Amino acid sequence: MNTGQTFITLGALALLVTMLLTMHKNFGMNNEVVIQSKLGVTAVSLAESLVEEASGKAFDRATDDNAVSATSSLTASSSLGLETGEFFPDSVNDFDDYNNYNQTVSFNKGGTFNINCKVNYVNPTNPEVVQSTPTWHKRLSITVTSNDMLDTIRAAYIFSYFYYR
Amino acid sequence: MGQSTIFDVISSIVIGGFLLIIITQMYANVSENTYNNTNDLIVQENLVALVRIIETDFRKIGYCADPSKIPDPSKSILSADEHSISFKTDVDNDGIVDILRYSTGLPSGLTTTPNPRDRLIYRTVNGTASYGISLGVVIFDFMYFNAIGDSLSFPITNSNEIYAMRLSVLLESPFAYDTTYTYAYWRQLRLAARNLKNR
Repeated sequence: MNTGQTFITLGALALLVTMLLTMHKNFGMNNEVVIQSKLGVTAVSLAESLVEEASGKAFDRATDDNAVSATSSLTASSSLGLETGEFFPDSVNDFDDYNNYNQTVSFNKGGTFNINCKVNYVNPTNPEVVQSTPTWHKRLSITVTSNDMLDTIRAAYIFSYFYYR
Repeated sequence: MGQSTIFDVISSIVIGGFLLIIITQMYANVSENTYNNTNDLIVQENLVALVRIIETDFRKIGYCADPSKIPDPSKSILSADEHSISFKTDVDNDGIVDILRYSTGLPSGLTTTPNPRDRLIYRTVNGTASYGISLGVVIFDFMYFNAIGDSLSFPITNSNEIYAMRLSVLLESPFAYDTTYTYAYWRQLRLAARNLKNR
C-alpha cells in the first residue's frame, strides 16, 4: 500500500468514526428527550395532586367554620401560611396553609421531585398580579423541580370563596 | 504475488472485517434505539390518553346535572378496593345517575402480548359488559384516605369514609427489545367529591 492509499484509508476511517460519533450523540439526545418527557408527566401529576389536595380545604381559616361577608375578616396577606401549632399533613385545614410549603417526593421508577408552593391574594381582572390586601380569590402557584429535569414545571390554581345561603 | 501484496490483502481483509463488525453493531444500535423510542412514544401517548379519560370521569364523582339525584356526594363511591372502584356520576350529563366502574383484569388474562405483567383495563357504565382495553397497564393501584388524611386499609367496608384517593398508574410497552420494556409512570391524588368540603 503506497502513501496515497494509506491516506485514503485513514480518511475513510475518520469519516466512519465521525459518523458513528454523530449517531451516538443523536441517540443520547433522543434518549434525553424521552426521559425528560417521562419526568415531565410525573411532575405534572404531582402538581395536579397538590392542587386537588389544597382545593379540598377551606378558603381561609376564618371560613373554616363560619361564613364571612367582608374581606377584612380574612387572613392578612402577610400572615398567609401555617398557623401556630399547625403542621403537614394532619392539621392543615385551609388553602393558604400551602403558602411556602415544600415537599420532596421520590419514586422508585426514577426521579426525585421538589415541590414548592406560594399562595397569594389576586384580583380576577388581573390574576397575575399579587394583591397586598385580602380579596375573595387566592392563587396557589406550584413549582416542581428535579435535579434530573432540565425544565421547571409550573402550575397555578385560583381558588375563590363562595358561600350558599 | 509478493509478500507485500499478500500483506496488503490480509490487512484489507482484517480492516474490512472490522468495518463490517462496526456497521453491523451500528445497525443493531439503530434498531434498538428506534424500537425503544417508538415504544416509549406509544406508552406515553397511551398514558396521556388513559389519564385524560380517568381525570374526566373522576372529576365528576358525585356529580349529576340534576343535583337532587345525588343529594350527598360524599356517598357517591359504592365500592372500592385496591384495583377497582365503582361510583355514582353523570357520564353523559343528562341528569340521570350512572354507575361507573373501573377495574383491571389479571395479567394472565392478557395473553396476546409478550409482556407478562400487563393487564386489561375495564371501564363499565351501568353494568354494561365492556371490552377490556389493552394499553399496557401494569400498575393500576388505588389508595384511599379518610377526611383526616389517614390511609384506609383493605378491604374497605364503608366506602363513605373515602375523602380522597391516590391512583398510581404504570404503563409498560406490550413488546420488548430483548427483555427491556419501556415504561411511563403517573401518580395523582384526587378528591372523592371535590365540591363537598369547599367553604
